[in-house]
Amino acid sequence: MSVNPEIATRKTLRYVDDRLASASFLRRTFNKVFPDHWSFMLGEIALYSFIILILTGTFLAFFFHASTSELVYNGSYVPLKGVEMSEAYASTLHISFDVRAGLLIRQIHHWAALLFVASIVVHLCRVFFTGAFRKPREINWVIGTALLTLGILEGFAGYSLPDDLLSGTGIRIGFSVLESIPLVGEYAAFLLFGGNYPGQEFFPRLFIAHVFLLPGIIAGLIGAHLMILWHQKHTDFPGPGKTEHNVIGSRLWPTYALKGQGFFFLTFAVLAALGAFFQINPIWLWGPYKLSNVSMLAQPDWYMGFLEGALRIFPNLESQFLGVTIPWNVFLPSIVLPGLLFTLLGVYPWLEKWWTGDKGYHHVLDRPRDNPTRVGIGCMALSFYVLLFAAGGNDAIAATFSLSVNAVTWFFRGAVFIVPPIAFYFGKRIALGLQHSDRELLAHGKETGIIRRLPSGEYIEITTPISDHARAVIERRPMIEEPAPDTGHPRPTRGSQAYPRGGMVATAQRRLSDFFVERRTRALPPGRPTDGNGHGNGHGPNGDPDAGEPLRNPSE
Amino acid sequence: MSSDEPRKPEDLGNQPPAAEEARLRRRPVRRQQETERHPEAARETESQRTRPWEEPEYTRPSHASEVTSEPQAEQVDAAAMLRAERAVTAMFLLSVLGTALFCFGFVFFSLHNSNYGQTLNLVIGAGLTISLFGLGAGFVMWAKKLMPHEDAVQEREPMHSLEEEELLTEELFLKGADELGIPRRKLLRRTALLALGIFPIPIVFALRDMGPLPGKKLYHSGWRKGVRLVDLDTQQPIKVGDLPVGGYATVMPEGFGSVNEFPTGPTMLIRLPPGVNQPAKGREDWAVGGHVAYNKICTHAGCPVGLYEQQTHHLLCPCHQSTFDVPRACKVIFGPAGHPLPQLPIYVDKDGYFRAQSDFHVPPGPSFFWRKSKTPAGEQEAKKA
Amino acid sequence: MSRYTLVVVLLAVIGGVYALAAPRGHAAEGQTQKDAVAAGYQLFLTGCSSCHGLHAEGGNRAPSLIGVGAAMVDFQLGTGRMPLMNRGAQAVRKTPRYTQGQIDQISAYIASLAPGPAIPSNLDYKKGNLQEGLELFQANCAACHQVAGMGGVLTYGKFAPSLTAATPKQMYEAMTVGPENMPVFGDKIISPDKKLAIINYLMTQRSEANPGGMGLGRTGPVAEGLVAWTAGILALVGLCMWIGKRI
Repeated sequence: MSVNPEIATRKTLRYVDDRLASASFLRRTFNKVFPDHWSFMLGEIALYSFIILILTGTFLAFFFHASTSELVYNGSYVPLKGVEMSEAYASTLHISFDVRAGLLIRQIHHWAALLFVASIVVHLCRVFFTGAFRKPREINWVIGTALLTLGILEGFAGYSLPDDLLSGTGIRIGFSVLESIPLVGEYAAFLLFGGNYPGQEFFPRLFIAHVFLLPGIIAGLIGAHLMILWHQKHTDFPGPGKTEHNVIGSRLWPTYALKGQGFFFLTFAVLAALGAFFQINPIWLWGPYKLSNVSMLAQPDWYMGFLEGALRIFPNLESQFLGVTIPWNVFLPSIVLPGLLFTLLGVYPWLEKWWTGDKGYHHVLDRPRDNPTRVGIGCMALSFYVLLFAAGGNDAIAATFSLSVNAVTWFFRGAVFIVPPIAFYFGKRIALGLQHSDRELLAHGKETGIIRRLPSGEYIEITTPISDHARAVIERRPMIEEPAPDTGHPRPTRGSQAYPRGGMVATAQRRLSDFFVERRTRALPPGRPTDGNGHGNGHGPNGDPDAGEPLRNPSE
Repeated sequence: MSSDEPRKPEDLGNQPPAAEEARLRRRPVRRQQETERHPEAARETESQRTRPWEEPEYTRPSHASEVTSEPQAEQVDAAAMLRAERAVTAMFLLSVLGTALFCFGFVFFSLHNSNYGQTLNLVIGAGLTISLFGLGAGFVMWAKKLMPHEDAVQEREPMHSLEEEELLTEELFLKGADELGIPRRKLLRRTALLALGIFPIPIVFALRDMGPLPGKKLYHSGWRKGVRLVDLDTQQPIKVGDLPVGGYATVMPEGFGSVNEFPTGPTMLIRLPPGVNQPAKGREDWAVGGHVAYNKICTHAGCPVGLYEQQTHHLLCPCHQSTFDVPRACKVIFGPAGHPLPQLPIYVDKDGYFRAQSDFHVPPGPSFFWRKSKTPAGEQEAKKA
Repeated sequence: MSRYTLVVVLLAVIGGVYALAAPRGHAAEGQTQKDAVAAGYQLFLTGCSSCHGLHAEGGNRAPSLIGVGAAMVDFQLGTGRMPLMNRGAQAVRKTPRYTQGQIDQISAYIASLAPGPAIPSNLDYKKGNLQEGLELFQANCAACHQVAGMGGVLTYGKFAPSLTAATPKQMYEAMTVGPENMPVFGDKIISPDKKLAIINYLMTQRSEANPGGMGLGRTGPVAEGLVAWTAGILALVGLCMWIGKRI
């Protein structure tokens, strides 16, 4: 008797429903609508990378020995045969040279780790620049910040497990970083390492942290992140028919599930391609870790680069007084700086709420240009981070471009202060410029590039009105609202509250808000139809579209 | 059938197949009849419908969605549909090929050959990539080309409850807290909090044995008075004349066993050209004939300072580019290191071998908070002076 | 047109005559040591003395070559570092200006001035212990030259060059004489056998395949991070744009 798939499906669903009363839940789930924009899939990259990390990591854990006991290597890699090394290193060599598909899976695992953090950063940028962290999504933003931090730590733990010369140097630096903490540093370091560096205890602990503790916390946070997202529904860009009260896209079943499934395989395929064709972390070239050895061009994996850069460019400040020493040169760049940066990142939604006074719900995203100050702040932060990352590779830069590494270091010392404010300014101006060009599009339409010469001898450019879709997108977001004349700061948007307190705090708030919110009144003058001819489009005598002259009748 | 239990799973199996199929395929009843059958659901739906949402545009229950779909070009044009279906099929078949390539490569290519399995890795890697790509591209193309383009609209529930709901919940919670008597029973409350607050303290105690207290361990490099300098690799003692001018050796105290026991032991013995060394006051006898010894562990973050520039007499740490000027007691001339590398006072014994006069006078390695400015050996020397 | 033809023909004739008639370096075989030294001295006067002094005594512009040994000369001239073309932080490897015969002559001249390290011969590096070479390289060389011999930076624009173009003889010479800022690795610290071991390791590593795929220059996480962000993220974002809506 052949099984009819439809009947089988129905029977299965009934079977489950008879135990879980799941029919209504499933219907809601199948009907759930997800907006379709490509930039909403960036977080999925991170999710799928994490799943792939778990899968490949499990395989690796079947072969890895997390021990620093010394043994003599007797595997396939000839230059290391007979060399004394730790079990951890030897087992990683075993995976690479004596387990078929071992090196492939090891490389996929490592590339997936790099891309996991990279995709979190790209996703973070999308969420930041579109304002998706605003109410009611602040909690998810904080969870996301925590995921980024934990991802970085997890990656550090992971690439340190093979105990090769490169990662071992990083562990030594880690011990020194712990030591540098005032009051408790050496105690913390000795507790964590089970004694003085290097000790025998650290590696088994690192292994447990890497395969159990951190992945568990990360998985839990990812679960919370997704559940909140599911419950609140995804944000969406402005567009025709889109309001704060609906979400338009495709339903989970069948379209979105299919695309999601496909994207999982494609992400896996990209990671497999990287693992197949690009060698990463060739530990046999680095050799086993010995604390008296070090290599040139020793950098951590990219996501730790900003810490490495901070360590390299920081001046050599160390205070000795009253019998104690405070190594600012290590403590500030490795502990205080990341603490400060990640905290600022985590509380940003509340910072923005504070200085814009906007406490309303936002399910419709900002196009980045709609909030020029936020674009400026984002550019500032990104430029700061990128400069620190680049400073972490100062010797690689000096070697590649035949520069003096000292000059490169001095350059970055200056650049991390000079460039971010410039980036803020440029970011903000570019966003305002994009707003300007949007207004041009609304007022004059799209340029066609066709020039027509009128009988009078005048040249005009033909423009066409923009599509309804584009119009809906542009007009959906009002330009930065004019400040209310009485309070002197922007009129709060729907659902927000006025500044509650008077006195010094409110004044400070208002002043900060004035700085951070663009005050130029750029609302469109009403009643300005588009003119398809490009002739007499309201350009003033100097060609300034905002000179405010009324539309000239071409027949005049 | 009774209205309370619309279907019994046991019943299904006892009916003849055709009737069973017909039963399973029954069309769902309209909404009103459904709500009659399930009073709880009716109440829920009703209350959803009659709730006055804040926003006036809201009209529908949240889990319904209105779908409009536009046929893709492929739905309208049969030839395009066929092409698209063929493309998707081709992708899935490609995936099968990729899987086969992986299995084939795994079995027939060797890991233990002259290029350490490079070919094997490429073949199985390519196979895996193709296998995954075929699946992914197949599903995506299916969704993009074979499905109608749809715009489903779903209403958003407000992310806050009605005020009545909030008040009800708050009241419920507070009522329970009141029944517990928390506000009134101050002593109870305070002792409960005390007990709860301090109960995790044993965890801190339990973690204490994760590691020993540092004690004086960070001050001991393994060097002591009279011990010979031996090459770290060969463990052979170093004699005057072994090092050419401009040469160096990494040395450890004789009999050190494993370098892991003495993480700040590695020391650089450098032979400077004659006349280059500028010993600090009180350190004139720490060098012998241009040979000077400095700790190799960088005072910044602990990397071994392995780069010696023979002509400029600089020691450069490759990790963060701290630069030490050897003739001037390894003064820090660039980079983030906070203080110079400690100098090991050495002398030459009657057989010509280098020996240490004592341990380092300042603690070697990176700084830490309670770091005293002198090691026990240094304090002894200071007392003598 | 015919004017230019004549000019081209004349140029060819003059060039050819010069090429035929210009003095050549003679091969060292068949010459006595004294001839070699003399020939070397002539070459030295022409190409080196303007900086190194008429008798290799050095001066403000260049150090003295008395006592540096034939190995140093062979290294510097053989890698093309000398003659120095541009004054910079450090001499760079470039195409050698002299033939090996000429280099031998100049080396003979310098060696005649004072004793110094001789040019190594019979370098059977394959006899070197490969595993010992790895351990020695990582302990003594990797800090400047990087674990895979890709080179690195020193202070103020100086650098430790990449070892991928060095010949075994040049490697041996460099270890022996310590050119520029490279330390001098004397035989008592790194014996000749150990030097051969290091050379064996380097030559083996050079010819070794990259079992994981493309080597990315074997330079480490900087290159890997760049690939992750360019190839990896670009590919993935590109896929997102294919799957999702674009407006």
